[in-house]
Parts: sequence; structure tokens; C-alpha cells
Amino acid sequence: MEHFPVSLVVSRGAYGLLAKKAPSTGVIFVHGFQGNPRATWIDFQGLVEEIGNQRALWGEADLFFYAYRSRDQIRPLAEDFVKFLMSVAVTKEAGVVPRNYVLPSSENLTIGVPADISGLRGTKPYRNLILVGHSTGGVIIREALRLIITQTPEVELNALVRNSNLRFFAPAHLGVLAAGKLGLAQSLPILDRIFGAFLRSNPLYQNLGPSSPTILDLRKSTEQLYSERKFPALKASSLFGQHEEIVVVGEYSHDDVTPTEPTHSHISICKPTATYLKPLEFVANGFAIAKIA
Amino acid sequence: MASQSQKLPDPAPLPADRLRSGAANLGFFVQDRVAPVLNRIGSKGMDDSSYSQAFVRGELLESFLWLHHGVEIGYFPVSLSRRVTYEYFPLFLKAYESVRSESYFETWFTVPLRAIFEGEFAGKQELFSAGRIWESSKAPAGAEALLQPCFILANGFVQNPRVRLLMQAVAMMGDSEWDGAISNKLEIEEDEETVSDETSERSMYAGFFSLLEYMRAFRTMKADFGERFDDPASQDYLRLIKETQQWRMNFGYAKYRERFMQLARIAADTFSKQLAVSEQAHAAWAVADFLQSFYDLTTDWGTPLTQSAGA
Repeated sequence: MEHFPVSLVVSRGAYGLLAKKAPSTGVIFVHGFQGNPRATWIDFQGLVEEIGNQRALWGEADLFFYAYRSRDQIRPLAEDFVKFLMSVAVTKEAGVVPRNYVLPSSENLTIGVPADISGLRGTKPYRNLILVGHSTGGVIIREALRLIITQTPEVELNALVRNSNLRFFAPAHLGVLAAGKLGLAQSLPILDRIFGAFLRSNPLYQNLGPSSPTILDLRKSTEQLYSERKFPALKASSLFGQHEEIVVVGEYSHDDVTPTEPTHSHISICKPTATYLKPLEFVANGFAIAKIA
Repeated sequence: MASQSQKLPDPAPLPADRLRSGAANLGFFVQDRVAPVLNRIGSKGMDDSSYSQAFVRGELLESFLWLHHGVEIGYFPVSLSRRVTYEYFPLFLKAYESVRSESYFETWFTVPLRAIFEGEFAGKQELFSAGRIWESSKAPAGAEALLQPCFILANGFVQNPRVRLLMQAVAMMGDSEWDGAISNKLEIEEDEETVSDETSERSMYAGFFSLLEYMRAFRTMKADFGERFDDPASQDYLRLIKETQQWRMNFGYAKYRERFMQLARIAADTFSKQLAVSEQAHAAWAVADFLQSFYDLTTDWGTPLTQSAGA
């Protein structure tokens, strides 16, 4: 195994897989509506250890599976994510991993990451940062980057954050579908359709219609910022399933366009398996792009 | 594979690099799995007789089994794992002694798992020596890659407070209490972990759909493991991991199965009304189809394959 697991202090359920050698890249995964960081990204955590031609690439990456408690608005979720993102960009895992666990019987006996593993990992900062969002996670990432870029003088902007690469699975950045537009969803398994109906009852979902101020403002200001500054972090690549039933399929005007994936839905699009490696490859492409940037 | 009663020697010493990462794995285990359970025990103590504390005792025993399975394949270092167990041994023993006298002990844990408790907690065998099916040097090559994702997924599921409330009610409530709770949308024994800004109805649905998400994720993972680790030893290990969690969602027993199906029907009735307009005419069919699909998922967790979903 090239990684070891760690808890993250941000929110219940968040965790990380840290490389056992000096990491060059930090990858942050942000889940979507009512999701959680464990089931959403199944089986990234297992397959990154095993896929032959990508193993070396992933072996140099720290993976952070961010979690957040559901709220009704994007802004507070993005503000929380800004703190996490800046901490990882500046200190790698140091600011988000709890201290080793001290056994009550002895202050000298702690359980956790041994010093020699920390030594192998070194202290050099990441060279690349990849931000991966599913569904609402994509909107939270874009809003967080907008906040950082508009609120920080350009000379003080963290270069890693400014140049981070965005890889989205079924992002809600163009808004969510209204219930009446779900005719195509009839080809989906009933579990997905009923689950989709449950998601649509979520207050956050209801605040993210295609014409909501949140969605329109975010798109407008991100496109404008990109036209002025061309920061890589303002441009995303998005992967959708052909059976997308939750969000509007599409990109911002300056984003990369990727063909939809046959047979996949909002839920399955981000879950790699031994026979569906596209999600892994899609994120791994970000490694190469981040290095070029 | 050795027979389960055969005493095997201690796991072989791990190479230095595995020992180091094993210590890190153990740190994650303590922080992600054990500490939350200890926190729940904290304020009420192990002597509290409420059904929620009985549920916590089950969680504590399950934690020990995960540790046991990890030591067996060298994922956790044996000496440090023993040290952690010694630290909390009175709690483990108290949980065991309390649960073993209850009628549900045999429902919760299969014979091989009970043999681990009965051998090691009664002092008949050394810690982490009972019920082992391999020496660590002979464990299947992919065992760590199988254990870690299962463990991470399961931890996320069981720590979800909405799911805990739901599972606790299904596993522990008497029939009249359950009937009362379900008619009040599980407005039951909330604690500081429960999200307070949700209605109990919304919280119940969130818990149910989180359960559904977990069952689907587990099935996906199981199918994927079938492709990647198709040897019988790995499949045995996966079965053991599943049985370790099955005490809280044991669909092999009618009580659990009927309660979960009841929740599934309530959720399906509610949300089938919110399907697209074009589907509304088929709402009744959608409910039946949903129940059948949910029932099919429960077969991973003990439901007999032959029964229909009408329960």
C-alpha cells in the first residue's frame, strides 16, 4: 500500500490517505448533496493502490476526502472550504490532521503516524493541487476560489491555489434540474429515481435552480475573472453521465468540454471500478495539466 | 486455510516499513473508530441500561473484531494493538459480559466471531490468536487492499448520527416502542450528535437513504472485489468483514427485515409522489419496484433469496 489513512479534523467523516513518501501533489475531493466522503468516492481509495500504469502517479499524491455538514446555502459551505483549502495549500496535512492519540494511561505513549514516516514525507510544499468535486462539491469549490481570488490582492494570492486544477463529476455549476424535466430519468434504476426525488427535497437543492442568483452570479463572475486573469483555477473539466438526472449538463464558456459517459448516472459517474477506470483517469489527467501549468 | 479451532503461532514479525505504516493504520483505527465509541460511553458509562447504551456495547465489540481482523493480516502491528486493547480492556470485557447474557448475542455475532470473544475474553487464548484463519505471512496478497476500503466505508456509515438513530431503533426497540416511534417518524432519543435543525421526519429519511447508499456502495465494492480478489481466501476474508458488521443490519432475522422494509415502504410512498409528472401514473408500480430493489440489496446482509419483497 502506497498510502496510510488519517482522520481529518474538519468535519465528521472526513479523512485522508497520505503518501508514504514525499508527496508532490495534493488532491482534495468534495462530495455533493447529502453525500459523504466515503461512499461518494468509493473505490478511489482502493484502486489508487492498484492500477499499474497510474500507481506511481497516485503514489506521490496525498488524497483528502473533505466533508461538510449540509446547510441551505453555498456561501457558508464555501467559506468553510476556503479555510481547509488554504491550510492544505500552505501546510499540507499539518493543519488538518489531529495530533497523535494519547493513551490515557501514559502521556508518553501516543498512537498515530510514526516520526520516521513523517520524515520520509519531508517538509516540502506540494507542487500541484487538484480539486475534485461531485455535484454540489463542484459549486462549493468554484465559490471558494471566487472568494479567494476576489478577496486577496493578486501579489498575495497563493500560487498553488491560483494554479490548481479542477476536475468535476456531474457538477451543479449550471444548476439542478427541475422535477418536470426529468423525463429522461425513466431509464434509470428505480433506486436512483427515488433517491433523486429525495435529493430534490433538500433545501440546498431547491436553492440551486438554473436561474437562482447563486448559480447565475457564480457563473458570471467566474467567466469574467477568467477573461481578465486566466488563472487555471478558474477553469474546470467536467465529466457527466449520459443518464444524468440531477443537474444541468454543461460547462462555463471557457471550460474544457468532455463527452458524456455512456450508461452512467449522477451517482455512478464518480465511482471507479476494476472495469470502469474513467474516474481515475479523468482525475489523473489533472496531474499532467497541473504540471504544465 | 487452517481450521478455526487450531492454535496458530503469533503473526510473523512485520518488516520495518510495514510496522511503521501499521502504527499509522492503528492510529487511524483508534481515532476514527474507537474514540467515537468511547465518547458515547463517556457520559453515561457502561452501567446505563438504556437500549442506546446496549447498542454502544455492540459497537465496542465490533471495534475489537475489526482490530482482530487487521492484526491477522498484518495491517495492524500485533504488539501495539495488544497495548491499545489492554488500555480499554475493562470496557471491552464489560461490553462482552453484558451482551453475552442477552438473547440477541447469537443474533448479532456468528459462531466464528463468538469464538473469538469466548476464547480471548475468557482468557483461554492469547489476544489475537483465536479464530485466525491464516498466519499474517500467508494472508492473501490483497487482504490489506480489501480491508482498508471496507473499513473506511463502514466507519463513515456507522458514525452518521442519523443512521445510528435508525439502526439503534431497528436493532434494540421492543415491538410496541417501534410502532410508536415509526408513527412519530422516529422522533426518539436524540442526543448531542443529532442534527438539530432538521425535522425528525427529514432526519429519518436521511438516515434511511444513507443506509441505502451504504448498501449500494458495499455491493459495488463486493462486485469489484470479486473481479480483483477472486481467490477463495480473499472471499472468505470479505465474508468475515461483512459478518462483523451484520449485527446492526441482520436481515436474516424477520424483526430486522420487516422493520427495514417498513422504512423502505414509507420512504417509497413519500418520494414516489415527487417523481416527474410523466411518472406519476406509475407511482404504485414505482413503490413496488423500489421495494423489490431494496429487498434485493438486503440479500447481501442475510435476507433469504426466495422471499418476495412484500414484507
